[in-house]
Amino acid sequence: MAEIIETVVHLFYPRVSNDHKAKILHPDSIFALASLLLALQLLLRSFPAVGIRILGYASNIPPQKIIELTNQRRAEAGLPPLVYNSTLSIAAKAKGEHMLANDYWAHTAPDGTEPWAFFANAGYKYKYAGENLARDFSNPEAAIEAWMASPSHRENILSGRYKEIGVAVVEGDLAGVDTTIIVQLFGSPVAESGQIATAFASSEKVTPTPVPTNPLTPTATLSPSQVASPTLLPSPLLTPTPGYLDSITSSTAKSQSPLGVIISPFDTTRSVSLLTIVLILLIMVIDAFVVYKKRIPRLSGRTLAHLAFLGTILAIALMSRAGVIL
Amino acid sequence: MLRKISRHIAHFMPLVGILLVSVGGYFIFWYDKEFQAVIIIAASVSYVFWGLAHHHLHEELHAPIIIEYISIATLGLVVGLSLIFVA
Repeated sequence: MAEIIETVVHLFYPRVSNDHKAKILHPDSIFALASLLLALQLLLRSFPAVGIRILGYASNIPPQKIIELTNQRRAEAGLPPLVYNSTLSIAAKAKGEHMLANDYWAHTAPDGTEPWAFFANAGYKYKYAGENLARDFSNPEAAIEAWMASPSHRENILSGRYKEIGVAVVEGDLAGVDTTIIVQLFGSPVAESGQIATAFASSEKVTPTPVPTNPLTPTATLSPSQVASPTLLPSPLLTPTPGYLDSITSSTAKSQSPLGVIISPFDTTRSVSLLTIVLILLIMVIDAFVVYKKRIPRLSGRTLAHLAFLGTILAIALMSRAGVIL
Repeated sequence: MLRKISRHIAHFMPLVGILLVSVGGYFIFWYDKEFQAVIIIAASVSYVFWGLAHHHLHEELHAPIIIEYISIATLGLVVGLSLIFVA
């Protein structure tokens, strides 16, 4: 017991044994702490490889809520609401499931499949099209907020070009992490044959660009024969029903996870980071106070500067939130 | 004494400026993970250089002090980048 106390004092309190500086504040200890935090990250990333599933989301995100919030933001900007289109939701669901099946997080799949291929495959003929992606948000409001903060995503949400919207929320395994992906597709159906179609992924520069004439082969212009008349659009203006929208939320992760979800990498990292930084800050303050009171001369960096820098990192840790948009 | 304090304040102003800009940038660009990572790397590197300049001006720049600043910056960098890339 006495040994434990001795070790604790040695680690946390400046005295002769630690050269009048808490041992935990010595550079070798700080490097060791940083290494342990890195090791934690490696451990969290290695869980899926050994069959332990980890949680990348904690969400209940109804697609209907995403549509509501999107139209709310449009109304605030003086724009007309987007009309729900079930074909777009089917395309969105296909895109989300394609990402999970092929383990990628991007507008364009590793095999070169463009976002617009999913519109075409679902049977949606568009004049303009757009795609916003989000993953690992805990609620719909946070995802919309993130999109609105990003100029390119915001432009999709507030674009007057789009008339219709489809949303899918897909849950499953992305790179070993149980993830919730939100796919938000925008479209403006073709009104007349022969019109040039234009497509925008949220991260792309919003200037008219060529679109594919078929799902996988991009060319400059849709020929009249390839453009369906509006009456041929499959169920273009369906009123969403709760049951149907629920079906757009697909979940594959839980059924594939016999061990169940055990840990959230973000929450774990955040908690450990906060704990580490607060502990170091606390010991620095005690250390500086003792050294000042005892008037101990020592060669050291500026404690005030260290406190300011780590205080900044603490603020950053507190501001951090889960969720990525694309 | 006053001269010493004013000299310290003059030295700490740039550091406070760097750190405030970092926190502000991190907050404003919270939707852009890559840019947030750049901000944290820039803040950590700036912090080390601030430490080197400060101690050099005080004529007390020695290897243990340099290592101390690098260790603190490394810890901050690891924490910041972990939070960004795990999200």
